[in-house]
Amino acid sequence: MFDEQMINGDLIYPDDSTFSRVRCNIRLPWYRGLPLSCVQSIEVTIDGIPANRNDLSLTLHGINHKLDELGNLDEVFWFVRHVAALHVRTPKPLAPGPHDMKVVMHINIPYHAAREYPQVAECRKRVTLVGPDW
Amino acid sequence: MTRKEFMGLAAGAAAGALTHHAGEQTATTQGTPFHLGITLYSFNAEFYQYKYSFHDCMEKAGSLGPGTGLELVGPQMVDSWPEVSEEFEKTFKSLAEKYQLRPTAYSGYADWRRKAGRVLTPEENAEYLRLQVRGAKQLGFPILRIQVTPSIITGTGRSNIVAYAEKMGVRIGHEIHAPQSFRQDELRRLIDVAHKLNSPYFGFVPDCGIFASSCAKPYLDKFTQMGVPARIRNRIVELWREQASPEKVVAEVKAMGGDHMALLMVTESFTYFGHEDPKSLNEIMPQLIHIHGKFFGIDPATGEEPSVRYPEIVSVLKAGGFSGCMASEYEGHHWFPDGDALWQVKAHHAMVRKLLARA
Repeated sequence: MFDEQMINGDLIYPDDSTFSRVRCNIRLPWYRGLPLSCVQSIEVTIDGIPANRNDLSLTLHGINHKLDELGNLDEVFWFVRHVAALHVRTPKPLAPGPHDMKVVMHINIPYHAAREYPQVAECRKRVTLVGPDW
Repeated sequence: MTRKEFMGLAAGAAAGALTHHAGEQTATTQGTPFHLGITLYSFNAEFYQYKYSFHDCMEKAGSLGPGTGLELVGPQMVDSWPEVSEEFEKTFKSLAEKYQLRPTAYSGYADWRRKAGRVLTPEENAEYLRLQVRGAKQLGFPILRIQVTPSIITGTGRSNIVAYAEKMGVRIGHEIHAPQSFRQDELRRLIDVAHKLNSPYFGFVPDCGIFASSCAKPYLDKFTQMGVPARIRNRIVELWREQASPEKVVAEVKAMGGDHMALLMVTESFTYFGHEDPKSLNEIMPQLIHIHGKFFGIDPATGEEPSVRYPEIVSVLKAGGFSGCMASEYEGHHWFPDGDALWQVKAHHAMVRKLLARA
């Protein structure tokens, strides 16, 4: 749901001066908010190179969480209008300027006791990595 | 209408909603037996895309007329979910007063699987629902809409939500939504429980999508746009008319070479368009707490919703003396998020008023 808006905006940012860790802004691809424990996994590919799960983390309300930590966070609510930051460590530094980014998010919709209700959202976008001269 | 007149109207409606006598009709907007409202879920696309703020949603709802019933989905609009913050409470109450909106229902969820890897225990589930009952009360909603399981109605002690809701003065409404059916065991069990309990604090919220007459045009148009071949689309519609089982439809569509988009079209044929007869409402008339006036897209040429059996629905509700609220729920945004939701809801209200005058 709202897949095409999952990567929020056209810019991605370096987390530090090495340009080997970048972040994009992401939206929850669902009509209502969910606890972070419902985010089962996020996959990121930049310029065709997939990131390792261990190289990804999510920041919501100023607190950073590894993906493996999300399962415990049923008390942290991701309100549907709030934007989170998705951090990606890349094998090599990324050059400022345009890149192809793909984000796939697997969420578990928690409504039913009797059965699982998984949803997958995919967003591909040409984004621009902001550089030191911007 | 003055503020004093409006507050009197709202108080009268709240009291009137607890009686189901056909003769005791509550004074409502423009003399309709049941009154009209909106669930802010109708503005889903605008709210998500930052086109409408929460304030805008309330203002647009208010433009439907003084005394319009107001419903919202808790985890969609309340940023402090599942709690209701003082900030949200004050904002909500001041906007409801400013736009002369009448809080009718608070939409909540059991969220059984919100802890990763397991299902909530009945005690945890009850705790989560009690929070929502308190939230409804805090915001001034007389009704909490959820999906119930029998244990929260008939259980003992702290797991009995209906007993707690009664203490708080909040009515629990179980939403009957496609693919639920009056012919299925699960719903029949709930109806039996409701009849035996015979309490104003537990009842039903039918979603009118269960009374579909056809698969909606925006749904068909969307899957055409997404590339599902005509022969597969036509077969899905045919199988819907025959009320074929999900297993049968999936098997056939796969055999025809249908991809993930075709399979999504199959799933949605079950979750949006039900085959129930509006006369089924007569079975549960005394337990009807609230109605979701689900619709997919009013035809501007006719002013009608082509895919939901509204003439029969309105006729049954009027004859049965339903005096609660029908909250318009526009859902065409699911397929086409850039439609004019406010126009749609206004058109839906006009359609229902016309049907009421004729019924």
